Amino acid sequence: MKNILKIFSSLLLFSFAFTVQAQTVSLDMESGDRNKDAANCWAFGAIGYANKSNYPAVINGTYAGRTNQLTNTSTSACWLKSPWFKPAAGNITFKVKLDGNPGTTRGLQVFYIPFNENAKEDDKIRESTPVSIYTFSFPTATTTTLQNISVPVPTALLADPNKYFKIQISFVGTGGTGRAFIDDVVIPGTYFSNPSENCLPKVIITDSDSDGVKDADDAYPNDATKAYNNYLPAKGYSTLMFEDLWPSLGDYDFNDYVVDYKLNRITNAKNKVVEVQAEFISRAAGASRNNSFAFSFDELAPSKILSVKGNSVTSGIFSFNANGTEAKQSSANIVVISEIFKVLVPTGQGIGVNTTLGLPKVAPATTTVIIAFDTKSTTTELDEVGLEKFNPYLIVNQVRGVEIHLPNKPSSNLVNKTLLKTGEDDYKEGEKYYKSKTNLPWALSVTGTIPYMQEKIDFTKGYLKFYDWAQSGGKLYTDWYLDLPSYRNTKVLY
Amino acid sequence: MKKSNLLLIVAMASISLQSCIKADEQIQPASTDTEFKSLTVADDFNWNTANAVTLQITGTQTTETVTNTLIISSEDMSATYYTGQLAMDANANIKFALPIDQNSVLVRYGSIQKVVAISNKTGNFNYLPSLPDVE
Repeated sequence: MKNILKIFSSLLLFSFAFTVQAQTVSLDMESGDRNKDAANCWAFGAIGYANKSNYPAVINGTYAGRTNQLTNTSTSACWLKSPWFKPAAGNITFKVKLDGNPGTTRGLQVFYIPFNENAKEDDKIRESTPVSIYTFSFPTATTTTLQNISVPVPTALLADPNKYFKIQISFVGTGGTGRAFIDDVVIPGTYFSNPSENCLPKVIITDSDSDGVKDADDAYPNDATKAYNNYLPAKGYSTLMFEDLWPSLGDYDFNDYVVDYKLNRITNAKNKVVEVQAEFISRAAGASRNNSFAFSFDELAPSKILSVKGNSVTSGIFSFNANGTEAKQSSANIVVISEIFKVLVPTGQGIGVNTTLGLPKVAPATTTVIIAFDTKSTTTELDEVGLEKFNPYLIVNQVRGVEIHLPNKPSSNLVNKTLLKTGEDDYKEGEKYYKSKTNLPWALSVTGTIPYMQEKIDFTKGYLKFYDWAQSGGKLYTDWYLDLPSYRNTKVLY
Repeated sequence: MKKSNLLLIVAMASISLQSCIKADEQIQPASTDTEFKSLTVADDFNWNTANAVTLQITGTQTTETVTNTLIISSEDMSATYYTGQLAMDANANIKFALPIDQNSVLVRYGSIQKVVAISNKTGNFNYLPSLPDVE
C-alpha cells in the first residue's frame, strides 16, 4: 500500500513539475514602467501604462496598458508587440476593456510575425509581414465589460521547433475619444529575444575557449584564463616625472627621472585580474644620482601575486619574496629598475641622461614587467590594480629608505620614517604625503606622453597653462598638458 | 637732414627691439612669479591629470539571464576605459581612470549605447530605453 502511495505521489510531483515548467511569455505591466518591459523586448505603439490610482478602470493589479484614443482603423497605429518566442501549443490570452468614453466602433486584431530570414545584417527589426489570426469587435464602443480574449496558437507556428515569432495585438476604432485597457498577456512558448542585441532572436555565439565571453569580445579567444585587456591609461602612455632632492625642494624641472608607463591589466571572464603587463619607457634621468624605480599596488597583498618577471634588478639593496615582490612589504611592491643608470647609461657629458640639448642622446629604454596572478584562486578586482592603487616611486641614490612618491601617495613599509616631515616635507600620517608646506609635489603623473623640460628650466616655462591650472585648484586649463596652440614653449622642452 | 636721418634710425631700431621683446614675451609666461615655487595651491588639490571615477550601473530585471560585454570608452571610442562582462540584472559600481578634461563617456552593452555625463567623479547608467511619451 505504501509503495502504491509512493508511486502516486511521484506521479503527482511529476505532473506538478511539468505544469510549473510549461513556458509562457507574459506581460502584466506590474513593473509600472514601460521602459523596463521594453528593455525585455516588449514593444509599444501608442500604448502607455496607467496606474489604478489615476484610472480606476485598470483591469488587474496596479497597472495596465492604456491605448491612445482609438480613432484609427490602421492596425499599425496602436499596438503591443511581444518579444521573439518559440511557440508552444495552447492559447494566447489577454484581458481588454474599454474606458467607456464616446466612440463609434472599437476593435482589436491579433497577428503573428515571422522572423525575416532574408533580412539584411543591419536590419535591427527583422520582422516579416504580420499575419492576422484573430479579429474582435467590442459589442458597443462604450461598453466597459471586461473581455477575456483567448486565441489558439496556429498549428502552422508549431511545425518547426526552430522557428520563432512575435505576437502583435493591434487596437482600432472610429469616432469619439474612447480608449482601451489591456492586461495580463500570456503567450504559450519560450522567450527567445536577446535584450542586449537589439532584441533580435538569441543566436548561438562562438566561444572557442568556452569561458563565457564570445570570441568577438574576447581578446584571448583561445585562452579560457583570459578575456579582456584593460589599459591604464586607456590610450597610449602616461608620463611620470620626478624631482629627486626630497625632502628638500628641487629646481622643478621635473626631469630627474622621466618614464612613460602603460599597464595592461588582463582580466578573465569573471572580471578578475589574472595578469598585469606593466611597460615602462625610461626617457631621461637629469640627475647625478643613480636612482631606482619601483611601484606598489597599495593594499594588495603580495601573496596574491604568483610571479614577477622582466624587471631589471642589478643592485643589492633590495630583497625579494619567492614570488618576486619586494620582501617585508604589506602591499605588493615591484622593483622595476634597481639602477636607472644601468638602463639609461650616462654618456659622461652634462648632467645625467637626455636633458641637455646638443649632448649625445641615449635611446629610451623599455622595461616590461609581467606580474602573474594565481589564475585558480585569484580574487583580485580591477580596482585593486587601478589608478588609485597604482603608486610609482623613486628610490634615491641606492638608499632603500629614501622614497619619492606622487603627491598624496603613501610611502612603503621600507621608507626611512625619520625623513618624513623633515626639510620641506609636510607629511601628516593618513592625510598628507609628499607635499611641501605649500602643497607642492616632488613628482607629477600626466596622461599621455609629453615632452619634458630641458635641464634646470622651470616646468612652468614649458607648459604655459600649468601655473594657472594648479593655482586655480584644477579649475582652469584642465587640458594644460595637451599640445594646443599657445600651451607649450617648445624651445625649452626636450 | 643728417639729424632727422639719425632720429629715424634710432626710432626704427627702438621699434624693432620692442618687437623682439614682444615676440619673446608671447612665448614666456607673463611674469617671473609664475615659477613653480611660487605656486600656492589648496590642501585638497591632487595634481592629477586623471581621476578615478565611478560608473554606477543599475541593473534591470530580465526575463532570462542576459550577460554581455560592457565597454566604457571615450565618445569617439579612441580610448577604452573599461571592458568586462556583466549580467544585465546586476547592479555594479565600476571604477576607471578618466582624464580630467573629459566629462562624459560612452557606455556600450551589446546594441545598447548611451553617452553618460560624469560629474563629481560619478556617472549613472541603466539599460532602459526612453520610450516617447504617449498622449
